[in-house]
Amino acid sequence: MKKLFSKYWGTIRIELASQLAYKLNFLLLILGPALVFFLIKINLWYSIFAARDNELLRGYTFERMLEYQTYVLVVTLLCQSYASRNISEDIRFGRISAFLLYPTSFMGYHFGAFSAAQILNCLSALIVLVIGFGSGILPLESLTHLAAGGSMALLVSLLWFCVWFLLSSSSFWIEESWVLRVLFTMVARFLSGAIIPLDLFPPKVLEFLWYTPFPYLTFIPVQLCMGSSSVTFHDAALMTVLWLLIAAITARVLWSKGLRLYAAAGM
Amino acid sequence: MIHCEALTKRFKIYKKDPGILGSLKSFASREYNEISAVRDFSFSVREGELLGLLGPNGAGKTTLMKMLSGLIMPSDGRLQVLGCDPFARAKEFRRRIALVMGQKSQLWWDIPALDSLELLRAYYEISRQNFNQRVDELGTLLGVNHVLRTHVRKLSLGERMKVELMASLLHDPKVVFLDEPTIGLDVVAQVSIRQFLLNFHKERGTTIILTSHYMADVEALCDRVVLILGGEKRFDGELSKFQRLLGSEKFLSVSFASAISVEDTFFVPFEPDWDPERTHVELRIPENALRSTMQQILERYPVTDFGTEQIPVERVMHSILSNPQLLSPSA
Repeated sequence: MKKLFSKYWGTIRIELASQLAYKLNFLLLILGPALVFFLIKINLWYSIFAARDNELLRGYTFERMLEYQTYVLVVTLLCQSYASRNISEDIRFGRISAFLLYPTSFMGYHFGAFSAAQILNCLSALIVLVIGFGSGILPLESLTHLAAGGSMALLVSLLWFCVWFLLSSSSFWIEESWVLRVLFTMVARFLSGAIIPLDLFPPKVLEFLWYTPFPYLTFIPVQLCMGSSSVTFHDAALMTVLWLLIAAITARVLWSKGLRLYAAAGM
Repeated sequence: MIHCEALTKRFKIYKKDPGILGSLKSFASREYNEISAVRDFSFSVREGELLGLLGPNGAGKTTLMKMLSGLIMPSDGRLQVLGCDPFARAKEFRRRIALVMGQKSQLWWDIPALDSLELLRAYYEISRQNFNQRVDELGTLLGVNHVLRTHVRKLSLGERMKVELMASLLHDPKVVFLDEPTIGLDVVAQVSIRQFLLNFHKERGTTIILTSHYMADVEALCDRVVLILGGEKRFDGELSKFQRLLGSEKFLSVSFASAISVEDTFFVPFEPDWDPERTHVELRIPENALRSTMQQILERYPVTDFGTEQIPVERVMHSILSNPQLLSPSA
């Protein structure tokens, strides 16, 4: 156990050092996309509410939507930033060869790298929260819900990690698997409530979405942060763990099958 | 230590014509070719051997190394390395082997080399005391102690390669696969790595399998060579036997005080290799004709210097690659 922890901690240390080596790169890769996406959405919702003379939109005022989207930014920073790691390309160009020879698991190595990224992501999310509460965008009352929302977001980040690993494993079969990843990200963003809150979706669509992992990716953690979730933390966590197990097992099976096709190109 | 029988690796290669039309055609129907990168390859390596795998680009050397180290799965055949099936990739197996890829780095680019070594210490579960001792010992032998705190991306190619070697040998592997360890290095760095490998092998008795396009590496390090052509084993034996593959010939180099005329045909039967000024020539001469030929050259030409040696492996390889029929099927 001590040796396992030593490997894990060693990976975290080295990954932290690598990720902080290029400060601008870190800002552009992790903060940049989430922040730009946030500003575009705020601009869009501002125009929608202005056109409706700030009329309520199924219970949402512009201020409430701003709060929702700010929490989406926090959840995105906590959950999705590992997407910038291009495991697919590493597989395609044979860059995983060295890792396959070390007496440690490749998924384990990436879990260590993911944990290192999460330390930095938590710091970024904390900065957004401080700005949000300081500027009044986030009401101080929601502070009490942050523990539940934040814990849920961290659990969801594990689900994202497994989904990402699963999608990357497709590179053993598909040469250009980035299309698959981009497509999944776009669909997930829309169906997880990262653009439009899911309670604004037609009820029939929402009913269907509850059978998928999408609401747990953004909508539920955000609602938990806002203290307005229709699902309890306990139920949401249980469902997320279920999806997490499905994704982890599928990723593991795909990875083992894919390795049989690995050609270790470029060596 | 290493034993393989009828080892074969096939790859499915997708064919596509160039240009947009080719892309459209391949979108509608894709053509695949199956190629055998390694075919029916059998050999055994004893503990402590230092073996050179020779062959031109695309001969199958690297594919064989990838199978031996467990990176890729063989399509057919039986393979055992250190008593294990390499592709099962058991942790115990991985702890006892190392693969050095001259064209691929295993070090983390953006951090000091010592940090990479520290991580490998954790992965290979090396005790702190052993680690410090190994780093000191290998660093001194390779002369890289002074660069271990420098970011890997700032190291010269030679320094990086030495640190790569250090990283691969840190856990004291029983078998080391070296794939082009001196590629792209200057002569000084090549010699220094060769010398290190030679000493390391002598001291530790580690089994080493080496591929290199630099025949000097093979000549300096390997007692036994295996030649692969088109994925098949074409020669397996001592280096001295390989050097005699072209017959009992000697390699004679002669320097002249003045340029020798292009029209002079005396040297033609000996496959001469002239320098641009035509004041120096290298010849292949049958052993039994060496004395008489040398006498004639000394009498006819203004010789300033001469020397004989076994035909260099480089020259043997060149002759075999341009004329593979030189190898008998039974070789």
